[in-house]
Order: sequence, then structure tokens, then C-alpha cells
Amino acid sequence: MLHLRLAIDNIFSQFKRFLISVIIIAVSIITLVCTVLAYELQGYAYDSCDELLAQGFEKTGVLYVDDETEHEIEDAGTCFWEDASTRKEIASLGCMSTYLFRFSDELLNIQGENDEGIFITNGDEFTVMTIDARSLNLCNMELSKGIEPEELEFSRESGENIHRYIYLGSAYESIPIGTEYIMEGAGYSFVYTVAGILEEGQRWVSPNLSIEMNSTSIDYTIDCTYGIFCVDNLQYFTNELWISASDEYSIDEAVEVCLEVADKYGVTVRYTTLTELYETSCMENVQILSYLAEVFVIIVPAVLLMLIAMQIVSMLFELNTYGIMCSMGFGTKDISIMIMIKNIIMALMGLVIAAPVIVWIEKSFMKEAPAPILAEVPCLVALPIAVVILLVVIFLTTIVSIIMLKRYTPVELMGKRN
Amino acid sequence: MIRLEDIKKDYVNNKNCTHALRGVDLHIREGSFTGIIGTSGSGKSTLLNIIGGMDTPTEGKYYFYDELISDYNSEKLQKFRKKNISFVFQNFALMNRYSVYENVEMPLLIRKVKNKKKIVMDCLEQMGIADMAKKYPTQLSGGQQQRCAIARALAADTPLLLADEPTGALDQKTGADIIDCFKAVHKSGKTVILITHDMNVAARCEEIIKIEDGLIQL
Repeated sequence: MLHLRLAIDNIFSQFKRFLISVIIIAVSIITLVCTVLAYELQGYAYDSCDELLAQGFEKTGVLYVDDETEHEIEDAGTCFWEDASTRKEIASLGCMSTYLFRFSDELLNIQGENDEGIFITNGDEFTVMTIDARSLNLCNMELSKGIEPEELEFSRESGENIHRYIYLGSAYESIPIGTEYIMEGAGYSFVYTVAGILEEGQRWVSPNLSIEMNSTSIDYTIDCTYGIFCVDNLQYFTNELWISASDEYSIDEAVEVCLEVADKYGVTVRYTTLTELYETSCMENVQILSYLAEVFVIIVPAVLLMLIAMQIVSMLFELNTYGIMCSMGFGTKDISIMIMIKNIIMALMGLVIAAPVIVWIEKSFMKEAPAPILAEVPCLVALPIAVVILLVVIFLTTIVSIIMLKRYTPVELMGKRN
Repeated sequence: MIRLEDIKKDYVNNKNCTHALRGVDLHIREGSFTGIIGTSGSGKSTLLNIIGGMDTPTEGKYYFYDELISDYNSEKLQKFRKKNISFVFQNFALMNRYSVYENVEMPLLIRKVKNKKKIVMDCLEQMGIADMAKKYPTQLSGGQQQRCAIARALAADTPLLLADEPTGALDQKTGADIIDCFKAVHKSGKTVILITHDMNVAARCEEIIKIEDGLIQL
């Protein structure tokens, strides 16, 4: 209590200097939080996709099959697709697209007003993500119940009854596995069997990712809570195919095999890897961050030095008081504890000032964050980093103070020499 | 109580060496009231600081009750000061942001003494400034500030009280009153060592030691 009281008295005796230090600390914390936030956002698109994709970001790419002579290419393209799918270098090669379906009022009622992201409704039609069975293992699909994708059995059906499986988001948990929905049209009908319910929190890679990554979007995964995924092996032709390399092969090796197979069937194939897409789209952000990092590298040590310098100046003003305290029986330890408490109070005050700004940043800029973890970045990631840096500042300034106290005798502290 | 053997103290500054003490031998008995006199720069304050453990000698031996204080490190010296020494300075060395009461209470806080309020008020009473307990040092006259400083030294209840020119900043009458205060402290059983260059003040001490150019003059 004595040390706390002395520290508080010390603060009030040099209140202006204390206030300046507190403001410097608060500004430093806010700068730090913003920088960490920028880094976290920058990496989020990569990290979230990397985690979701079964083979990871760097082993996944997109093939674009040219369709100048549509019908011929369609046949050749199908042959190319079938052949390439069997190659050991390739873990998955398939397509996925969104379509508007109408097959169940029951599902429509569950979705209700919660049509979000790409799973929007248009009147009484659903947006359904249709995934080719061969690209099912592109992402890690986690089920709360139902049949695992690799256990699905497809029979080639044609004519009037075509069979498809559907996986439903966790919001549709009440739907029993095996429920069948029939969609009928002129001269055809599709039977959709519920094969599984996705785990809560399951996400899927956005089809937009196959086209581009832009520098403003920070997430390319989609929430599957109200999602409906239709799985089939109908081999309809699409000129965008997702490809991921097998465990022991790189994406370049997998693509090379594809190019060879494409040559064999006379198909023109272009390709891009997700890494290329990411690097191209994020160049602008990377540059901004690089500038930020450079500024930060200058600001942080400058702020640290400024704080330490202010502590030293503050100590020089207080040397006489410390000398008097020594003459009364106080030791270096007592004075150091007092200085440390003062520094802790200063750091806490800085945090108290910075905290509302950080909360404001979190509420204003992060409210539409795609993942809860990202929304909490300012408080869960940036703030702890700021606290660690503050601890370093407290430690350094206290050490400097102790060194100064140890260096002088009480007489020198009091400026008395005869 | 205090025995100094060939104490030397040099101050080195920018390659210039000042010999503040050049071999002081001194013996001060317990319960004495000793005045150390000397001109400005004679080394008397340096001597007092070494006796009080505020500074260390360059050479020589300093015994306090047979304990070799001159070998102590800063931590041991701090404990030594806490246990044995109280200081009164010419400029009073009061902490202006604390009240008179809090200034006197300070040594008790660091010594974790119980019944602080009674001790503080007794000391202030003894120095005749009990009614000023709530005032701040800047609101007091020089004499009152010095009484407060003596009350603070008294509250610490150490066997040795060291005073460095305690009347130096006071007029003659106030100075005489302050010496009366020291006399009262001495009568209560404390050993008092007082530095002064005023012969009238020195004359009121039991023993006088003269120091000149860093050496005790016999």
C-alpha cells in the first residue's frame, strides 16, 4: 500500500509528464492494434481457404477449358476430364456451380428469412450449390450425421428419373437422412435424397474464388448453415474445373499431367493456382502493409525511446526526492517498486484510453467480418500483443530507473557534495 | 559508538581528484551531543554523510558498535540507515506534496511501525507544531519546517541523529530555538551529531570537533 500511495503521489506531482506518457502509450496501442488488424485481415483469405481446402491453398488450382467449338470440345472435354480424374497426381478434379432449384417447401420454410450469402432465394426457388462427386474431397466436409461423401453410390441413370444426393446445412438438422424430394419438369424428374447434415460452423470454398481474388474481399469461404449442396456425377460439361494435387505431388505436377491429357484429346486448357490468384490480387495490400510495417518499425522503437527518455527526465526531476527517501530509510528496492507501480498505472491508463477506440474499431469495421474469430481480432489478438509490448516498456523503464538509482549514492541523488 | 580510522574520501570528476577527507580518525561515544565545525569545503558534510551511511569512504574503516560499516554494500547501508540513522538537513528536505503529518509519518511507514498516529502527534507535540499537522511544508516558516524535519527524525526512533547545518537557513533566534529542540532530543537519550560553521551553535554542543581541509584539527 505504501508503494502504491507513493506512486500515486509521484504521479500527481508530475501530472503533465504523466499525462503525455499516457497519451503516447494510448496512441501506440491504437497504432499497434490497427497494424495487427491489417495483417490479420490480409492473411485471413489465405488462412481460411487453406484450412478449408482438403489439400491446402498451395495445392489447389483452377483449370479453364476453352469452348470455342462447343459441341466437339464438350465431348473431348468430357474425355479429358474422365481421363485426368484417374491420374495419381490428382486428388480431385471436378466442378461446382450454383443453380436455382425448387423442390421443397419444407426446406424453404426452414430457410425462411435467413437466405444469406450465395444461398439466396428467388421467389420460391433455392440457390443450390451443385458439386461434382469428383470434387467433393476438394474441401473437408464434416457431417453431424449421414453418409460420408466417399460412401455415396452413384448409378448412371438417364431418361426420366435422375438421382442426386443433397447435403444440408446444420439449420436443417430436423430433416431425416434419406428423405426424398422430387423436382418434376416437362418430361423429366429429379429425385433428391438427403444424404447428410453438415456440422455446425461448416464452411465451403466460394465458387467466386475460381474467377478472381480481389484486394477488398477478405474471405472466400461461405457459411453453410442454411446451405444446400447437391452432389451428382452427371458429368455435365463446365469450362471451370477445380483441381487439387495428391498428397505427394505439387499443384504444378498435377497441372502438368492435365496439360498432357488435354493435348491427347486436343483440348485447350489454361490454368491458375490459388497462390497465383492470391499473390496477384493482394499485391496492392501487400505493398500497403509493407509501408505500414516500415512506418511501424520506425514508430515503435521511437515511441519506446521517447517513453524511456521521458522516464529518465522524470527521474532526474525526482532524484532529490529519492535522495530524501533514502535518508529516511527507503531502499532502492522500495523506490524501484514505486516506479514500477507508477509505470503500470501509466500503462493501464493508456489501455483505458485506447480500449474504447479499439472497441469502436471492432464495432465499426469488423461488424461484417465473415468469421467470428476475425471480428474478435482487435481484442483477442491485437490487444494481447499491445499488452506484451507495454510490459516490455514497463520492464525497460523500470530497469533504466533501477540502474540510475544503483549508480548514485543517496548523497549524489540529493545533489549534496561537499 | 562510532569509530573512524583513517577515513579518506576522494571525488573524481573529469580527471580532477578532490580529496574531501584525507585520513580522519574519530571516536564518538554513545549519548553524546557532538558539534562538527569547519569552513565551507572543509569536508564536514562528507564526514557526516559517511557516518550516516549516505556515502562510502574511498579508504579507511568505519565502525558502528564494532560493525564494520565501511565494507557494507548499498543494500546493507540502506538497512543500516533504516535501523540507526535519522537526518536533518539545512534545507529541511521535506516532501512538499505531503502534509506535515505525512512527512513525519513517512519513516514510520517504511519501518512498518504500529500506532503511528500517536507517535507522530507526540513528536509534533514535542516540537511544538502539533497544530500544524494538516498544513503543507510550503505553508510553514523556516523554523517550523526545521521543527517538522526534527519531528520526522524523532519519529524514526533511531539511536543516532545527524544534522547538517540545521540552523544554516534560519535567523539567529529561530536557530537557537532549533538547537533547543536538538537538546531535547539529546536528553531523551539519542546521540546527536551536528554540523555547523556557527560558533554560537557549536558552543551549545557537549563536544566540538573541528575539521579543516579534510583533516580533524586537534
